Order: sequence, then structure tokens, then C-alpha cells
Amino acid sequence: MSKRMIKFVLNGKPIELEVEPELLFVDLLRERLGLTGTKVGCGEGDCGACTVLVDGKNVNSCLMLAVKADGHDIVTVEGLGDYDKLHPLQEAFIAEGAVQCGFCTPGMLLSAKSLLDVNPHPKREEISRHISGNLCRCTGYTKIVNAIEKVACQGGGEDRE
Amino acid sequence: MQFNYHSPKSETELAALLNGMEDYCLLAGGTDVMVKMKEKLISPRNLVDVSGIESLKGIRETAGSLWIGPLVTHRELMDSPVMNKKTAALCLAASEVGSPQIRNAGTVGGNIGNASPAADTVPALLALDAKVQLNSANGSENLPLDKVFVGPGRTCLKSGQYIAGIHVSPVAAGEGAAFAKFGKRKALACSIVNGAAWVRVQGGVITAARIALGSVGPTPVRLYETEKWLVGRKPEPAVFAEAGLQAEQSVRPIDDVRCTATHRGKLARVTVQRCLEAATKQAMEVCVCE
Amino acid sequence: MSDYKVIGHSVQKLDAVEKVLGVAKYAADIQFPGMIYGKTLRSKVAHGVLLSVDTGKAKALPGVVSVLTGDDIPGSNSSGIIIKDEPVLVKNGQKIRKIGDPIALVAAETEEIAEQALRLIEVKVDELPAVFDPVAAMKDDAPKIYEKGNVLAVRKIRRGDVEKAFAECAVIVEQDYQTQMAEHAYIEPEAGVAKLDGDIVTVWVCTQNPHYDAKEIARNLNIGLNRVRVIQATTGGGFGGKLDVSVQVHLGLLAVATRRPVKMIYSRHESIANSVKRHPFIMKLKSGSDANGKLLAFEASIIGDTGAYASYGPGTLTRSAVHVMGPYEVPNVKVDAYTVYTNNPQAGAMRGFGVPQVAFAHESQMDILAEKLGVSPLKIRLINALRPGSFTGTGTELKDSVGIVETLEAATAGAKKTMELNW
Repeated sequence: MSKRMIKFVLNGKPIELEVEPELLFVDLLRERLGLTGTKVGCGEGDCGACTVLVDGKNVNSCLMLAVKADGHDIVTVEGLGDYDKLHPLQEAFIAEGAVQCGFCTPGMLLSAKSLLDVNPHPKREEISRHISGNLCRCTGYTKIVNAIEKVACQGGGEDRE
Repeated sequence: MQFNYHSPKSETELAALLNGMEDYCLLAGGTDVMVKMKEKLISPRNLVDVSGIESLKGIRETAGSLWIGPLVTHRELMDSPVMNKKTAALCLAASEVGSPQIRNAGTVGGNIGNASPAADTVPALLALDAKVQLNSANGSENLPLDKVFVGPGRTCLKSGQYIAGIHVSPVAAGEGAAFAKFGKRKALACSIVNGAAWVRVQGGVITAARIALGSVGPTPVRLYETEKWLVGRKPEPAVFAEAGLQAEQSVRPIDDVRCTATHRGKLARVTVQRCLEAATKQAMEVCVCE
Repeated sequence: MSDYKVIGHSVQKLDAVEKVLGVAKYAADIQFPGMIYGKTLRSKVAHGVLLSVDTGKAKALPGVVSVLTGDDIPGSNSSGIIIKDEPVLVKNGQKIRKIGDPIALVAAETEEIAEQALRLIEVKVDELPAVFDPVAAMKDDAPKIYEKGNVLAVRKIRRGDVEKAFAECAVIVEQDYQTQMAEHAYIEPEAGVAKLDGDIVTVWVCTQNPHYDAKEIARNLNIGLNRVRVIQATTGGGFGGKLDVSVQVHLGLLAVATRRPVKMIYSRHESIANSVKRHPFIMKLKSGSDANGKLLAFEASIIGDTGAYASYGPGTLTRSAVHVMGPYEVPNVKVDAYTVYTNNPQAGAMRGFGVPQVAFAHESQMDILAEKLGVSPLKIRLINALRPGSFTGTGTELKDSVGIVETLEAATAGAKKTMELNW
């Protein structure tokens, strides 16, 4: 299969590379770029562990061909924060006990971000609805919703600086 | 997965590419196609990614009709101000598809092309009298949506044809439309039964109706008999109940992992009853307001 | 707030920062240079005898590094937490007892090649009639899944004289109950990586049971425990389901056979089809009380479907037997709990370990009893609840704290408060 050149922005940095057309975007991230924060829980778009943001919208990277990243702005969990400066959502998830096994956490954080970026002060039901594509088997969701709500009350987390 | 990947940038390019091409599958949002390919249910030699074709995107209002580009995502549909104003039931249906992630990627054209009997936007589109424009290198044709489906996962699209647009009728004054869905969960649930209804109420009686149900047979269905029966009747609970009963008796659902056939029949009844109730309520509210 | 540093406070989870940053390493995230990928060929039939496995075509496929069958296992070819009844790879002439029983392993340069190789392995099986219903499996004429019969274990409790006590009861409630099989569905599917360091096998794996894993690897590789290291990778949920071995022994075998780092990741489908489940129960409960609602006698039979292999079955059913009368004092008790083999997926540990199933039954009994006596569901429980000084159904005296009465009273006060707020 002939390879394709793709260009996209990943966590704020421009990237240009050649990919096989059958390569999944999640595999590009995990296998080729070593960004293993994006998880695979079901491989069929049901669990949301592989959630990334494409132009600000949360999508399942396990159902996305890598070639489709061409021309888009993509954010993964690695683009949210670092040890020195956690994203407000990351801080809230820790403080509220929203992290247990942690496998759903990266996807959950990104879905939360995609909500707060367009709707900084969502209602609790809106939060629940927006994370409905991210399954968590440990928490029962209450603490995750609490954490997102905490950031929403503080001003939506859109102003990190 | 192994395939030749094509990404035409225009409809002309797409039509020319598909002309004579064997063993291909069109790829839009990929929320169904990718799953089927990963599960090896399909393994097309050619994957034609249409997502770069600008003319298949967007929502446009034309005289007496709304044009929906097949690449419009469920998210775009549910967020569209014009669609929410003119076809709220369709926006509601779009908001019930999969999850936020699926709605951000999945498209209306894909929902039709995938031909799942449980597709959520389809009953709403049917109730809004949707017409589908099918194009190919050999020309163009317009078909009522219910003529498109021939079986589970199968459409009438001929080799070389693609969905170029969807026309729906806006809900006017004195008219109402509603959508309802039953799933096992509130999100990420394949419909056990879904349905929609559209009615026109004039002078206190129903003068026209369209009812559609999904997940109660090999394809989504229109209930033409019940639609006819409704004409001339008063929009009242007993009439909705009788229409629901007719729906239960006319559908031929199957038993599967999600639901038994018997229960599906009962849900079909409730779906029709509730949709008619909500649709007529809307129709009469508009009457009063204007 | 309490005076303690930890108790009574919300404590930050130890690895929470790594988890929110996405840098915590789960097994599937671990990479080594030269790493290959393992896949498992599994039975498509539920019961049969394996006649032959032809791996010739699979071995010839370019990119395939190794194909192993039961004949390639240097050690015991068995695993199991309580009873070693589960084959690591079913050998020629041996029994297949469920859909999904492992038959062969493939290691290849890529996952795709490994999957392709699985399809090239030819398996012949002499299929036998299967049994999926534990009650049917207990009958004499049922297909025998094991030579010694399908009833793996019977746990009996006898206390007092049940027959005499029931004769004295004013009210008796007799009812059948059934619960279903359940899947843990931890969000992280099973995964692991194995690597040789000299003659030491190191396995990074998602697990709840690393010491058990190490012993199973050593027994099957026929090497000393000092040559096996199992490192629990950050684990994406378990709920009891990651107590049994999944990829551990298979990884060890492939690493030794190929002398290369090997990774195995289950798809969600493979995970659900082959991991242990919560035991489905079939129960018959009989409770009797005097006219005041005081329990005098209790009798129960419990049949737990443990599937094709024991896993934690006998332990689960023991817990069920001990707890089936609920947190209530009954002087006369008779319980029979059966752990039964079927050709279903094996059932093992899952949150509550046999108690959630019986809780549904004994609490239903109490509600029915209350209704028959015309007292409130709360009162019937307060009358019978265990207290300090009470004896349990197995005759243990509870000398110190027993929280149920206090809990019921606190819940009642809470409910009253909610009622006042809402009315």
C-alpha cells in the first residue's frame, strides 16, 4: 500500500510524517510517536479510552485512520499539562478522587476539556451527557462529574495562564 | 486491514473514481465502517474517503426545503440553529446517536448508507419526508428515503452511486414532528425501537400524517396504513392509542440480544403513541401562537 | 475532622499525578526493542477431545517467530487458584471444556502476522455433547466434563434441628431465586510483556495476584521461582477478574521459546469471552419465624455454576453458604452449597465473592416474611439483626462490634430527614 504524507498539529507542535493508509490514529500515537497516554479499551468506539481532540472536538482515535489527521489540530492527554503545571481539570480530578485505576482518565479529561472549552459553566446534566461516551468502571462517575463541575465553577479552565 | 485508499477532493473526481471501480466502500466519519473493517465483517479492496469533498458538507435552506449535506455530522445537525427551528425532531434524533465522540465523527449520509435498521436519524428523516439525491458519473436521481433501504446493511445504491444530498421538509405552522427512542442505556445504546411522527392538524382534525419506526424489521419502515387511517380523525388519546396498536400489529420484529420480538412490538406501540401525542401537541401549539 | 493523619481525611492517590498526565505505564504501554507479539488460538467448541493440531503452515508464514502447542510446555501444563484443573494449552488427546480453551500460541513480528498465523493452524476435535445448565450437569446421565463427575464441591452447614424448628414456626417463606453470570469488564483488557534477562523471566502484567502468577509461570516453565519475576504494571481495574492468570504463563512460554521480548494484548472480545465471571446461582431458600417475626429456622440450597474450571468456585460457594442466612440470627440452620462444573465460561472472584447473589435472596426473604407478618421491612430486620453476643449461622459468637443495627438506625434517621425535606 502506498504511503501518504500527512501534516497536522499535535499538542501545539506541527508534525509531518508518512503513514500507511491502514494505520489507525491511536496506533500512530502509541506505537510510532510513543504517546501511550491514549488508551485502547474496546477498539470499537464504545469505551472512549482512546478519546483525543480533533479541532477541539472529542473523537475516538481507535476509529480514525491516521491519514484523516491530515490538516487538523489534535490534542492528546500529553498536551494537557505536565508535572510542573497540571491543567485545572487534572488538578480537580486528583483533588476530588476522580482517578482510580486511571485507564479511562486521559479520555475522560479530554472529553471534559472539549465541553468546558465551548461551554465553560455547564450544568451537571450537561457534564454527564458530555462524558457519556467515556466509560469508567471504578468510580461510578459521581466524583468525575464533581471534578469537572469544580473546574466549571472556577471559571471553566479555559484560562490556564 | 488492507485496502487502497482514495481521497477524492470533488464530486466530479469521486464520480469518475467510482465509475467502474470494483469492491469499494465509501468512508465518511468511519464510526460504522471502521468497526466493520476491524471485525472483518467487510474487507473492501478500495476505501474511498469522501470526507474531503466540500460540496457534500453543510446545511442549506432553499425554497420550501432544507438541504442537508451527507457529510454533516450528527453533532452539526443537533447544534444547527436552522434545523432546531425547522426540524427539532431530527435534531433530537441526531442527539441520540451513539456518544458525543460518535456524533462528532459520524455523518447523516453515513447513517443512511450504513442502512442499519436501528439508525436513529432515519425514522426522523422519514417522518420529515426526506428525499435522497443519488449521483454517479451516469447522472442523478432523487428517491424517497424509504426506497433506499432494501435490507439490513443494504441499500439500493447502484455501483458508482453516492449520496449527494438529503432534502427534508421543514415543519410549518399547524404541523408538528417528534422522535422517540428506547435503548438499554441512556447513552451509547443501539436502539431497541426508535420512531418518529409528523402530523398536520387543521380545524381540529389530523389532515396528514407520516409515521416511521426503526429496529422493528430488516429496514426502517413507514406505517402508510396507519397514516391514512389517521386522516380526518381528532388528535386525541384514544386515536393515538389505536394508532399505536396498529403499529404493534403491523410490525414484524425479531428476537435478539437487545430485546424480544414481543417486547419490541409493545415498544413500537408506545413509540407511535408518544410521538403522535408530542407531534400533534406541537402542531396545535403553533396554531395557537400564530 | 479526625486527629489522625490519614483516617478521616481525603488522601491524594499515590499515582494520581502520573495517571492524569497519561504517563503511568500500563502493560500495553511497555515497549522493548525487538519486541514481538503473541496471540492465542482458542477452541471454537465447548466440549470435545483435541485430536490434532497442525502448525506447519503457520510456522512457514514469514514473520512468524514461534508456534507452541501443549507438547511444548516443559512443566505441568495446568493452572488454577484452588485446583489446578485448567490447561495452559490443551494437548492432543486432552479435553476441551469450553469455547475459548487455549490450543496454541503464536509469536510473530506484528500482531497482524500473528493473527494471520492463527488462521493457518489446523485443529481437529472430536466434539462431545456439552452441558450449560448446572442443574442438568448434576444429573447422573449428564455429559461428564470430568471423570470424577460434574459436582466439584459440596459445602454443608448443619446447626440445631431444622426440621423440628420449622414445625414450630408460625410463618414460613419458601422461594426460588436465580442470579445471572456477570462480566467485570474492567476498562483495561488483559495485557502483558515478558522478557528474558539471562535465565530470568520477567513478566510485566496487569494483575491482582503477582505472587500467584509467578508460581504458575515457574510450575509450567519447570524452572525455580527464583528465575521468575512478575511485576504488576499499573492495572486498569480488576474487581476480582484479574486474580486468575490470563497472559502470564503464555508470555513466559513464548519469551523462553523465542528469547525475545513478547507482548500480548487481548481484544475486548477475547477478554470478555475468556475471563472469569461472577458465578450464576440457582437458590432455594426457606425461612421460618414465630408469630413475632423472630427467625427460628433457615434452610437453603445453592447451586453455583463455576463453568469449565474451578477458579475460585469452591471458595465462592463456601462464602455463599456462610452468608446465605444474611446478617440475622437463626438458631437452626441447614445449608447445602454445590459448586458445579459446566461447559460455560469459568466463574471466579468478583466483588463480594458469592455474597451479592445470596444477599438478593435473603433480603427478598425478609421482605416477604415482613409482608406475611404485617410488620415493616425495617422491623423484621431489627428483630433479627446480629448484635454483640449473637451467634452466626455457623455458630460463631460475635463478641465485639456488629454494625448492622446502628447502620439501620442511621439509615432510618437519614430517610426520615429526606422525607421531611421532600414533603
